[in-house]
Amino acid sequence: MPGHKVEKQRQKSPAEFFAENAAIAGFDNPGKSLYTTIRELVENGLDAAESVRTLPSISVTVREMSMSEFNKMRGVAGSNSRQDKDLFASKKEKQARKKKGFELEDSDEEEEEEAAASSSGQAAAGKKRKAPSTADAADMYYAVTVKDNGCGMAHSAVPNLLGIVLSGSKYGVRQTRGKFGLGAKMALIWSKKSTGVPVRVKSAHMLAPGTTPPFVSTCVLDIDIYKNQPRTELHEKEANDEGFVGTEFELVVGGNWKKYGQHIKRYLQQLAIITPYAAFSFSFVPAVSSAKAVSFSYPRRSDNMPEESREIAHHPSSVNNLLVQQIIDVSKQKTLLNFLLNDFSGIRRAVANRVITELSNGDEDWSADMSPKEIDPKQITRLCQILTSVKEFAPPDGKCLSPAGEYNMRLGIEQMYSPDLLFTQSENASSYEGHPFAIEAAVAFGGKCREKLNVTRFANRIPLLFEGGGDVSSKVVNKGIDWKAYSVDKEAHRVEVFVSVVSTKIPYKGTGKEYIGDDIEPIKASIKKAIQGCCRQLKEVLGKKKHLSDIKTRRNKIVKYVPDASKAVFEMLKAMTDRKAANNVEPSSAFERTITDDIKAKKFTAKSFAAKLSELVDTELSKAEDQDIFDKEKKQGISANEQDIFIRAMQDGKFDWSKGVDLGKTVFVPAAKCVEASKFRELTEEEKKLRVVEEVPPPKSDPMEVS
Amino acid sequence: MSGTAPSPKRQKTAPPKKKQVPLAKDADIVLKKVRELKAAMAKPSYKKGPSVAAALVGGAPDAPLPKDQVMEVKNMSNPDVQEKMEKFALDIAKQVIEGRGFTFAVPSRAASNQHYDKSLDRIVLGNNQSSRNFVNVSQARKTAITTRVMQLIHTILGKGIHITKRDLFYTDVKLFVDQSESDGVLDDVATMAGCTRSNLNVVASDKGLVVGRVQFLEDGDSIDCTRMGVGGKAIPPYIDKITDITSDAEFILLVEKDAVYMRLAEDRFYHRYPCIIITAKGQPDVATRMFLTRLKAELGIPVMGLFDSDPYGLKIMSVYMQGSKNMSYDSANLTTSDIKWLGIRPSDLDRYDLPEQCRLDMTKEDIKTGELMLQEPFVKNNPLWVEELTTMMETKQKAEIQALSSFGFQYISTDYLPRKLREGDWV
Repeated sequence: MPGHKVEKQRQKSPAEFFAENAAIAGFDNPGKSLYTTIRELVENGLDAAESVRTLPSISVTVREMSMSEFNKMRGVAGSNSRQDKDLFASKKEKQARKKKGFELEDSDEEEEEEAAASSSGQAAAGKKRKAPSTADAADMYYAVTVKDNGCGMAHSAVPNLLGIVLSGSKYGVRQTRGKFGLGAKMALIWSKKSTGVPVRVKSAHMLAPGTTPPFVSTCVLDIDIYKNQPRTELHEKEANDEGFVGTEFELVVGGNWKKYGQHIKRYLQQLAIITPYAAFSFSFVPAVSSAKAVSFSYPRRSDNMPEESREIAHHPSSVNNLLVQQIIDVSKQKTLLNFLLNDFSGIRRAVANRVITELSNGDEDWSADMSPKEIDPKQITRLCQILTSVKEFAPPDGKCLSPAGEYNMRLGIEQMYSPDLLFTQSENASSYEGHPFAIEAAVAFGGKCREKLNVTRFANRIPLLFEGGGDVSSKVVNKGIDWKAYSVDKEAHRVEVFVSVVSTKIPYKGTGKEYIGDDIEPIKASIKKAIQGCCRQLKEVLGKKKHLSDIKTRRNKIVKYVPDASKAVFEMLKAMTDRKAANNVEPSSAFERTITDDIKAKKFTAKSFAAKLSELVDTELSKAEDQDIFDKEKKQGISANEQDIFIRAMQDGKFDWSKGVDLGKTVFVPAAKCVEASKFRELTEEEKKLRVVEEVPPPKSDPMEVS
Repeated sequence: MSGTAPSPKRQKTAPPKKKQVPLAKDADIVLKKVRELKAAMAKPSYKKGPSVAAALVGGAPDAPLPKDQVMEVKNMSNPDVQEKMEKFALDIAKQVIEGRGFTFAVPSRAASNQHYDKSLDRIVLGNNQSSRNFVNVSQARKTAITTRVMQLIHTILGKGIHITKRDLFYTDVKLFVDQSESDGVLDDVATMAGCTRSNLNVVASDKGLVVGRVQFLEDGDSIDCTRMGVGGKAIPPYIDKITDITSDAEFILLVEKDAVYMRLAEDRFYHRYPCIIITAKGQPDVATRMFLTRLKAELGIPVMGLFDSDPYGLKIMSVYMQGSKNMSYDSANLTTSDIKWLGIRPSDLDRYDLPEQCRLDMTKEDIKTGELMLQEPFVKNNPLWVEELTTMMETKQKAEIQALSSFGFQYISTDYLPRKLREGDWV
């Protein structure tokens, strides 16, 4: 075929795919990539520790290097300064230089664009990439070290665990932290793209949980992107004399601390909230000593580690053709019926039989006894169609989930924000489209909470930092909840709302999987209910507080004027006393006489009158309060909390108040019933001597107000 | 004696010769109708027209209220008011000491509590009272202010002095905050005591002027308003200090504007046609109103009003005639009924051929005010006034008294007024 150009076909390895589409995995730009690198490694570490039921301790160090430092470390030959400046100057810079040495600040953006452009071109060649050079751009390199105290990796497994991008087969579903299951591998790919420096791993494989590993492996490797294979430079195993536990990764990546440092800090902070049983420490050393070094740690607050999530079988509502094929391939069941019962979750015997009946309707090849392996691809299609449309299956069991737990959430939030008020609520597990999920929410109020309404999101116990605007939790908090109805002022109060979603499949949206879409109704409804539950608790407390402060304010508003009013009245009376005394006029009433005498004797002064007035104010106010309470209780009606109380009779005409009765409330309805004491206990000698008074039938209980 | 410095030469200027203004030659003719009016007023059969007071509260009740159900505001002497204050203080002290509360009963000045008393031809207050309770968040402040004002009044009464409303406010700015607070409470205290506002010895600053043929004693000083210079005498706010009023004037001329007053005063109009000229220089103040009422009551001569031909002028007249609805029960001393509208009336515009440039167009506010005036009782009572006002509304033209100056600066004193008086052209 003349002129027909045939495209050269070439197999693309998964690693290559991800290298070229790094944005999917969160490696959009150098700054974000640094963030994601740290994230992946930290989450790795948490998983590693939890898998052997060890309370995790993660430490992260980031050391910034300028290009010259990096080159020196790498042993890159050549001068680090640019001679031919114009060669490297962008148009803007040349213009700016003409206008006399202005420093460009948006060269960063350009730098990243160039980086992205050059990296995709150079990754294929596998060459070492040099950052584009503008003298003051953020062409920074970061030596990232993450150490955990987890189970470590078996010596032989290290290269493969890190160096091959696998697509795992699905035996079942399980709630996992990571979004892609790629973990550290993406970090490796990024380091290769940005610096070409191989990764250094030191790991000690724990043979049994809680034991000290006997050997420690050190490995230096990078990934061959084309062949999707690791390329090891060093792979040693030594005796573990120093008692090393866990895994330590060391990579050198490109990044941008200036832009993403905040996010990295925030990520760790939020992670510490949701994982208070882990200890985190972080330190950042800048390249330029004048810049700010950062170091902080979040100590462990809890020993309570949630149960690991268990793997459960797929739910039929969530399957597709491919998945069903895979399930069939790995199935150990011999009959179709057992296949349905055991390899899927939520199918009961009765329903399974009905499904089989339905399947065999029109297709006689189906039977309860057939082997699953006999199902051909066309039948798989039909099976799939039926499975996804049946509504009779039991919802997937939420027991496979591993939520953070209200206890841990409370601890985490308290450590971070020291709120005045904190309320949590977790909702029962539910499911959407066959995937189980559970929601936990917390609302923190006051204390060190940030101003206004803030939302912190967690998915499978890791924080979601970006694209909050479209997230379902943000939408529910900002638009779906009527905060005013719960006495919360969105502008004036300081409120933090935390939403933790755990699921075997989080319905992420967006390429970076940075937020949860709000189109899944069950999740949205559950989030709303959880937050509302917290709000109800908040409202009660706020209401009480408000009531108390109202009372205080009321009193203050009146007491403010006591001096003025009492002084005015007193002065008039004094003037009257003086005048009448001077003119020898008799007081016109007995009361007047008393007052006049008291004034003359200085018994009645402005102060004494003011005191009397204050007294009056307090008495009146408490009377009004009691009246308020009574009215409110009356409105609520008499709650049927009957309580027997026993009032002792008077002894010698005196009532022993020390043995009084605490009625608890100020308003109640007494229903009197006189019962003979002898029915309860031995009468004392004295009591035996008492005359028995005629039994008077108790009066019909009339609700009286007693305050 | 040498060495003495020569005494500085004193400028010898002759004092300006007082213009001797004799009685006008046609005084008798001009004043004939006025004298007739005066005589008619003295007669008991003189119809003042339907009561303004009655109309204010929506007519006279069919059956008058029994005496114990109404409260009449009376003129009280200083000691009496003082005693009342003391009684209040004692009452409060008793309440507080006995732990019963701290409440004032303030008579309501709302329209529903104002009733017309035919026998007095006055408005009286009914028995509706509102209570002011100290132990109440919204009323604590007002109560405190009330006690304070009472005490201050008690003090000044004891000293026998007068103070202005502003003085009162400044004695306790922290408590009162705004002068309107202390002013408002003054009315409350007056009604609680059952006396007039002026009995409290709190006066407003004087504004009005009087010139003409009237003599009185002010706090013992003898005042002759023909000898108070060209400007005349400032009407004193201490109405209780004015005694022994004597006059040979035939009428009182009530002038709206200061400019007109000055013109008439300079021309010594009051000598040519014996009268008393009063102005409040615009909105009438309490002192001027009280003075006018007093003069009319004691001298029994007619009051002629000289106002602009616009709704604003009518508004001013309304204040003299009926005062404010809120305080109408206290109006005995403050309102002068039966003011004759001498000029400028809307009908004058044509009758005196006022040139076009003096006739101004009424604005939207003017028209609105005019319509409101048509609803006022004092206008409605007098069908001729209704006619005048309707004319004004129809032509939509207004004119000021100064418009007459287009005929000559002294036209008003030489021609306009004498002609008006001679023709008996008042309504």
